[in-house]
Amino acid sequence: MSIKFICSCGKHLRARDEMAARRSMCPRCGAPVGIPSLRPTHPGTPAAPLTPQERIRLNRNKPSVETASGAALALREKSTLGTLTGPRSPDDEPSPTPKVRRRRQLEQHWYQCLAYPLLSRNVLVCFALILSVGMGGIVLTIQNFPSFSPTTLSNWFPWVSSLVFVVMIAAYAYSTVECALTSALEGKGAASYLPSWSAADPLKSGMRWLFCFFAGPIVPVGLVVYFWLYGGDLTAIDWAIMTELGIVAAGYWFLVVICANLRNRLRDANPRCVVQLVQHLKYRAIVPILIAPTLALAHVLFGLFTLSLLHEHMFAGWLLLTGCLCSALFWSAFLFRLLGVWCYYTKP
Amino acid sequence: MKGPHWSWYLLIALVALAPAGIRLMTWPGFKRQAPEPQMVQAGQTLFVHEWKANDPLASGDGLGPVYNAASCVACHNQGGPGGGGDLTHNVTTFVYQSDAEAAIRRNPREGVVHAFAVNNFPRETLNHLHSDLPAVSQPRLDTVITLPGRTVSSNHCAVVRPVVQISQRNTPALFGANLIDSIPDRVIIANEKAQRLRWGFAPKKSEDLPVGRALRLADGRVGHFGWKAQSASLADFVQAACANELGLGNPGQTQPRPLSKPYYQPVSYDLTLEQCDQITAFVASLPRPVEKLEKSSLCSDALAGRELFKSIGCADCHTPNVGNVEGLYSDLLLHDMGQPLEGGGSYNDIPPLPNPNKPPSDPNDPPSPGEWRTPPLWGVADSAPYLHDGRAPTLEKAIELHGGQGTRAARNFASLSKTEQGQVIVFLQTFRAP
Ligand code: HEC
Ligand code: HEC
Repeated sequence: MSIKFICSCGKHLRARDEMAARRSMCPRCGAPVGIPSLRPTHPGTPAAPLTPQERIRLNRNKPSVETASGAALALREKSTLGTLTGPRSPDDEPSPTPKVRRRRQLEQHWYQCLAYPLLSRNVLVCFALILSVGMGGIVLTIQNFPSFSPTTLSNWFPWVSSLVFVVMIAAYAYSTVECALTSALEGKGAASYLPSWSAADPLKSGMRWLFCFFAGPIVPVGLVVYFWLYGGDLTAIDWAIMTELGIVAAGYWFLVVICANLRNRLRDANPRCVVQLVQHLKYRAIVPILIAPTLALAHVLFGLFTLSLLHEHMFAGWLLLTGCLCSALFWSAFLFRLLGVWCYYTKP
Repeated sequence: MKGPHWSWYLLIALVALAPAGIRLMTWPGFKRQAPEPQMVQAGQTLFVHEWKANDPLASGDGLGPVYNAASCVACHNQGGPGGGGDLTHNVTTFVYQSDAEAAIRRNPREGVVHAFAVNNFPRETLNHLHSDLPAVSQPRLDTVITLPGRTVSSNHCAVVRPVVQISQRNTPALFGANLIDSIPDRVIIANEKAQRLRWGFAPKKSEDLPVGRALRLADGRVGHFGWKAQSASLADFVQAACANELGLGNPGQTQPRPLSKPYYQPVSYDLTLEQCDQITAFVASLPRPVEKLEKSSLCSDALAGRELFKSIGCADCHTPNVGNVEGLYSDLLLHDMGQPLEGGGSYNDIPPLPNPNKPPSDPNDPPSPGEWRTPPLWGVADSAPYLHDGRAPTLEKAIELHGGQGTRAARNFASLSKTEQGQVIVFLQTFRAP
């Protein structure tokens, strides 16, 4: 015999009889629910005052506006925009407003992480569109760039400003994707997280990303570029070597970015932490070491191909480029989320 | 948690980078060896030697039977043996493809109309190619093309286009040839890649962007020498020059069959490979051109000119340095220079393409009529006249005539003020023969 009742978020719940009149947590919205003692005829009630442990557990699962203020990234959860108006004291009861309905728990299975990029699909597609227009525009008009000299500096203004614009958008897109990681590391359930709109946060995470690039991947990437440029007509062996280097670069970059985000410390971007991370992840490390880099490489190659296609078939090239960017943002958000969730669960 | 010993990190890094490192070591480097002095000595004798029919230095029929000049130095002489040559020594090339041949897509015949023939041998004339052409062996340039700036054309050869296309080649200087020879193929291909990248992943064949292509020959090597980059090495070019200019057949290149007597058979090769190598050694020993900043008053102009040269886009094709060869001012790539500069023809019938049904835009095709290798500008002040057939008597004219992929730079040059144009010219005039 089980007790049937309904959580304030609308979820139909069931509990064993022995649980009657006790408190539990709703698996969908994470809010505490009181289990009715009688046969249920009314929705589950908000619980009585929380124990200290419960409060901590709860704080992990809710969009922590107040805790994030100290963190590097002020994460905002779209669905709780309404609660943003003022910081709440941790003693506040979670008010089960309808807006919280979309709040979920941290993913339990890897495939659940696929939902993460879907939740922010609108934002990601927007970024992909703006980026593809910007990148395509630069590639197509680069021939009109005046060659650089101090006397023609004023001619450079439109080009530099459009370049800065594209870089800024790229930084926003990246830090949006990075939110998948940081939110998971903080144990927050899936939702559409956005970086704050001030330029500082995206710039910060963009700089962190660049820093991680210089902390290792620059060596294999530099080698690949040198190889491509000076290798003459490349043979299959050359391509194999370049693929290997590309995978090493992308894999290490990915790991190092996660390391730097784990405790939000740049100095963690070192081989030692990377090895520790791999040891923690155990067999799952195959994802950042092999699967993610392979995906990344495929996207880079395809992206370059679409850029060269732009000159001859502008529309097709642009469409494919947008698709490539969408897919890249989708997969990186997914992978960041996945890795973040795993790190959260295996945190020492 | 205690991490692994530091040597493990080193090991992993080494393993990751090892394949690339090993491959890098197999890359061909710059092969630059100084030619041996005895070879140079012997080569010099051959280079300046006035060849005759049945010459004692040659083992076959000697000079000819058809030839363009009696010695290398007759053409290559401006500023000393090995220099450029004037219009009177231009070489006349042809492309012939009858309508019937074109219909079955047979490759056109190509070759040289030689200026002279040995005694009692009929000279080759344009008339051998087409009955509408005059019976001249050494057509003046203005009868082959319409010279720039002329309104009344004295061009006799336009009537037979496109069946027969006649064009000429001016003699370039050979100074510094050894340095060009030492540039590995991959460095020239790097220029090709860099140009595509520079212009935003531009397609391989562009009409107006300065995106050139390296010419891959049938054997996979990349062309270094010749107006069409048709030769991959100095030795190859010298062998071809011996056969085509002087009629001295050698194991590297048989002598051309006269148009006037197509079934003439030479008794044997005229030169041995060793003799060719000696000539190559001599050409390789020629010093590289120099940059001379003479009067100090011009010095600042030249420096300003150098900046302008870069900023108006000349350096896109005339790249100052290629690999570790400095001051070459060429990317050694083929560029499409537009219709007015077109001129087809190679010195020998090219071997048929492996697949005649290849699309005509294949990037590895033989050079199209409009494509020319960027000539190195070192020594340019001492190698007038300019452009492939010497149609430009001055540097200004040469720049003005840049079309196709060079249009943009030429237009930039034209939009400079008179003093600025002067500065660019002064800069170019610092490039002297050694
Ligand atoms: C009739 C004049 C003439 C004679 C004689 C002549 N050349 Fe040339 N030479 C030319 C012309 C014209 C070219 C450019 C050919 C081309 O690229 O189509 C040339 C090009 C060359 C080049 C390539 C230069 C470069 O940078 O591309 C070399 C090397 C050369 N000649 C060597 C020789 C040697 C060696 C001899 C003597 C065996 C010789 N030439 C005799 C006219 C001549
Ligand atoms: C698209 C590439 C390209 C650009 C850009 C270019 N050139 Fe050239 N240049 C060439 C080629 C190819 C030739 C040979 C054309 C021919 O012989 O028909 C040439 C020939 C020349 C010559 C004659 C050299 C000789 O030995 O006959 C001069 C001088 C010259 N260029 C100067 C310049 C200057 C100055 C500029 C800048 C305004 C410039 N070029 C820009 C490709 C280029």
